[in-house]
Amino acid sequence: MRYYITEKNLCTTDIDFHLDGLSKDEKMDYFRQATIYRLLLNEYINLLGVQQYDQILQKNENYFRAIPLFKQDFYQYYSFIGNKYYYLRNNIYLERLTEEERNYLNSRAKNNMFQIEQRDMKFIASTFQKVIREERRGIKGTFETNFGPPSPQYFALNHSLVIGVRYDWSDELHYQQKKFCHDINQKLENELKEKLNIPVKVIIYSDFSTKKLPNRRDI
Amino acid sequence: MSVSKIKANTDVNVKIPIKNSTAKKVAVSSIIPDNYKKEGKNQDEELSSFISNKPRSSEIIYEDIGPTEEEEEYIENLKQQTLKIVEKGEKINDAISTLMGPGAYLYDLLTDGNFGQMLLERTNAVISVEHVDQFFDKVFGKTFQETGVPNLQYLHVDESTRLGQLINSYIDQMGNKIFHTNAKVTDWEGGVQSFFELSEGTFGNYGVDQGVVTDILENPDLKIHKQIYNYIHDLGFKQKDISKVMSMINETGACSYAAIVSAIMYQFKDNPEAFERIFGYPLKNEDGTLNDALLLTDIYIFVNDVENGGELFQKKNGKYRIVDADTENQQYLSDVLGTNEELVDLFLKSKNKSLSYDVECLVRKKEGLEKYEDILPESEKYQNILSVKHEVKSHLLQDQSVTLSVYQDTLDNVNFIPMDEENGNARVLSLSDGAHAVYVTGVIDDDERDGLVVSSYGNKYYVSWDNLANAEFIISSASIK
Repeated sequence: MRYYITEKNLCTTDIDFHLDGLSKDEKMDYFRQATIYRLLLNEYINLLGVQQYDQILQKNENYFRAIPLFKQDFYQYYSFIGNKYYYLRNNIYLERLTEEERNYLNSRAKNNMFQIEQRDMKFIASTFQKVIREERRGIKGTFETNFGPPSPQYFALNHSLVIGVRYDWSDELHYQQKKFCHDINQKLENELKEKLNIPVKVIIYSDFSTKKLPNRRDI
Repeated sequence: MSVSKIKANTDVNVKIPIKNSTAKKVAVSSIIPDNYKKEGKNQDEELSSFISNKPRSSEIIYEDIGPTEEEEEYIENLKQQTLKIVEKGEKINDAISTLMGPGAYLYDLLTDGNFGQMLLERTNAVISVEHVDQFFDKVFGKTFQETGVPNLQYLHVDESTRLGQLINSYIDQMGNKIFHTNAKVTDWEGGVQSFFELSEGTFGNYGVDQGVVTDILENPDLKIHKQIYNYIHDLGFKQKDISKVMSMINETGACSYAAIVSAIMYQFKDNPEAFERIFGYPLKNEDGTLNDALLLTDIYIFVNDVENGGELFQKKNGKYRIVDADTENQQYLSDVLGTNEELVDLFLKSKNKSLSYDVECLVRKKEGLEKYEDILPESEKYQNILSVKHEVKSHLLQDQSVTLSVYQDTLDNVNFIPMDEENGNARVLSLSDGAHAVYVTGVIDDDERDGLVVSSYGNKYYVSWDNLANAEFIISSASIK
């Protein structure tokens, strides 16, 4: 599948990196790399099986309506890969890539028309664990942190792969929707844990636990 | 000049902890509604028997904490040095300057402010030996003998002065000994610890888990599931809405509710019979766990009822219905006082008109609020924290329910470190998406940890003062009367 990467669809808010002092071109490079990395990692988890679960929801007899683009949060909006419900919920810390890895990403991000190749998946497989890992000042070792409001269901281990799933709540079928989704999420978690050998958390989000996409950063 | 090194909140009326069971009997009786008291049994006898059979936190603490001989000797030495200064006959201004530094409130150290007023008017007065006795009695008197903690409320010290140095020296040497050596977790937590460790939540292993109702929803085979389901059904909700109501309770976060449920349950810890009569369901489940899910459900529906200022539920013709499923519009039980006194009070009065919920803000650290003086410069942080520690411990000793609320967007993270590191991971809260409230069960100060012990998410954590020093937060204390 080909993706057209333009200034308009760069994810410019996924920043845990001090960009002050960078030139406009340097910032654009960073955003372009962050966009490509997020796209590739989303594609990677799809290949590992997430896409199949997205299709299960689409086909389920309980009616799961997808969230329209304008109501999506940052993570779902910039997942790019065409899923209706599932998306990568981790933050991306590109600064942890080595210079060589940054160069690879940069070289792949040069053209506006981007096509995912096998070598990209190898690159993601070898780098994503350090790139998604959450770290906090003063805390050593493993900890839990919240990917959303500070309520129990949004906590995951800091080195987890975190996947979000979101659908439009039905007033009538809310409980059935949630139970069905919860059950298949358990299966997805187990499947991914087995394949990746790292903690995996799939979290159901809603209007209440997501932030609407903020205005694009003015660069 | 550096002043106000140790400053307590002068609004707080710190009472000497109740020690004997007679005093406790009065305290417990006062929360029992009249109709209960009037019934046939001799309730006072029942209560007295109940209380006498149950060890109290303060009794445990009194046994374990108290000045050592070394400490007593040091205090006596300090007192003699002070007396020498006074006996020289120095005039008040000089004496104050010598002892405490200009502008220090030695006056208020003496006789609850009355003597201070007199000194202010009669600046030529001389501090007498008697006054020094009064001062030492206030700071190192009965309360100190009982608890081993100097009454810092009466201290207002400038360490550039002789007495200030002496007192600071005392705090450093003996105080550290008191705060560090004697500050075993069990001592500090007292009754709160034993209550929450002996009475686990339905799902939490230490107090109330805010997600308890959601967990119950996902476990329909549990007996408690049927109880909650029936309770919501009996309120008049349609059957199809019951699961939705249960799901709503922790959708955007019920931490402030969980903290209040802990607070209310703790206030009734010595009298489960009264709790059951007032609320209509028992304090504990049959298996001995706290009946936290039912109280959480009860208070959530009540405060979010349109009639009580909420937006989510409405009762018409005796039947409840959901009028707004968007739980972002739910009410929160945290506010500028730390606890939404008005709402909790309204809830309690709906159970029994004679009940009231009294909240006192112990420390509020937030920019933009009037009480900005709670924020001290970095260099004075430690002394300020000593004061806060004392406040918190003092209120815990009085069997008050203490809560901590951290504000949204105030810093990168607040770290909740498990007390037993082998039992679970640290929880690092990113506050960009919400605030958090927890129930405070103690103060810990050992070689590695210095902070508050809290019940959060049904687990036992501590939060360090260092971490809180960079956050905006409120600690408040409450009791049911």
